[in-house]
Amino acid sequence: MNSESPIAIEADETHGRTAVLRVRGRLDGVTAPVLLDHCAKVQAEGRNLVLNLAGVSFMGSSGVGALLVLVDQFQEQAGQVRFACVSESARAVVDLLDLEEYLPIHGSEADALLAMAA
Amino acid sequence: MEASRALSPEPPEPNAGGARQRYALLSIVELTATLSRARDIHAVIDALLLNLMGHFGTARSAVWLSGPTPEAPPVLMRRHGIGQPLMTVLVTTAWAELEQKLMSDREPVEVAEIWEGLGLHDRKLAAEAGVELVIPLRVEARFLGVLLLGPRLGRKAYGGFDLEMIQASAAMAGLAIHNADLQARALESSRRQRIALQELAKLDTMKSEFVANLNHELRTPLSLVQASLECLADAEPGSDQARSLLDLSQRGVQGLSRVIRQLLTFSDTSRRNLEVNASEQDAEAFLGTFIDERRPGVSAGLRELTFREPQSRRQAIFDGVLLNHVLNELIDNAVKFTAPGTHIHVELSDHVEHGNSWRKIEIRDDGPGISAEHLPGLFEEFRQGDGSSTRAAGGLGIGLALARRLMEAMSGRITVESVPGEGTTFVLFLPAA
Repeated sequence: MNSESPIAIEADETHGRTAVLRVRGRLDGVTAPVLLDHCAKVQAEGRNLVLNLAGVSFMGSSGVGALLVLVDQFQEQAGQVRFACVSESARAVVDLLDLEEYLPIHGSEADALLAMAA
Repeated sequence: MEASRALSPEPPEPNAGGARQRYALLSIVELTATLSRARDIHAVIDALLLNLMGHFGTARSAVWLSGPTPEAPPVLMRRHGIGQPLMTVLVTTAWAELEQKLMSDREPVEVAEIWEGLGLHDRKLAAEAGVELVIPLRVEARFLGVLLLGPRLGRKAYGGFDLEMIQASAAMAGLAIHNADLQARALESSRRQRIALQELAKLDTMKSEFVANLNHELRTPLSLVQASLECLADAEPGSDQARSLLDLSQRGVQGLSRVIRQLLTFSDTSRRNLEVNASEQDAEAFLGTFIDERRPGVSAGLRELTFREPQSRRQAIFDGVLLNHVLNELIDNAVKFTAPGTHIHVELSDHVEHGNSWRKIEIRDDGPGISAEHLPGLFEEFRQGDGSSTRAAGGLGIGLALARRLMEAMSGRITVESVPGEGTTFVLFLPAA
């Protein structure tokens, strides 16, 4: 994350067919398309995705919209996306909108990877 | 995003009474800030859809915009989770009616109402498509397209305040789309103007160079004639000096005649009133005569002109006057742009290409050649081999352009190959009889 981009996305490619992306910073109208671009690359490779949201300091409507789009896009291509370590501020928004049952959220990356394999 | 950053130091408090209102306010602020930064129509639509989907908790949305012309079909810009059948129905059967209804109501309409208003009663299809609201995108009285939103997750209904908020968001997005469109058109217009200005500047330079070249090409032989005649007045009649001065003035007249003939022929081809009298002729005999005529002049410039006869004799279809003109241009060029000692070789052969038979005349020299970057523009008007109308070798820069036009007038063509440092080969293709 630099001074120009309020989001940083770090890729962990050590989990075979599943990519793990760790997001840090704000998830809003400006940064949500950036996140979707990163995830689209994973999807284009036919891989599953675990999105670690521990470093998300703020999640606005567009951030939530991006998560819903990801679930739909991966399902459409018979893939899976799971969210792990959702930060307190992001979790508050998910709870406020009663979306927890529509967003596959896990307490840790390991849990998300385990659920993916199940 | 500065505004939303300032307003969001803390996350919304879950289940608190004011949390939803605060979240709604943040959503609008976020959308406003994002739209103000969106640089193109797609970015505007992405901002609108992600924002509304996140705010209302729906996994389905789409935007269609009217086509670029009234006759053009609407364009699907973005789609999230909405099936194609509804799209197809809306677009192919009811876009005009949809526009009429939405522009009269100017507010979000439940898709069921639209569906029935358009005489479509297949609710199963509507359910499959997963659309609940149809919202007009417009700027003032102009209909831009539609925003579709799916049902909210958790079976929540869109309330009155929600519809107000969606309408306000759509209005902002409509304006942003309109502005992005205007900006894109302005940028494109600016780009085209820039290119047109560059072309004009190029033409202006070429025109100036042409006039300068023409001035030189006419003035030089004219001065020669004038000076020779002035001296001749004082020379003793029949003396060697008088003969020499007469030769000089004759050369000047020939130079003038060549330039004027070239200009007149070029002018004729430009006006497309060139008279072409092509007929079946013996190309070998024609070339033999031509080479015999040109060899002395070329040799005088210390260049060697040779001709290889073909193995087979076949007639070609051409206009002798025009072909003579083309060959003269090429030989003049070969002399003009090479140093003394250069070998200019002419060869006639048969050539078959894509089932068509040609008589091929190659004019090859072992001069300095032409760089690859200048080859593509070589047959353009007012160009010479170095890409500019250089004064180093003289000429008007219309010789090769004229040669190309004359070859095309005879249903033939001219090509060129060149290797810097090794030489240049011009190839003329004439239809074989």
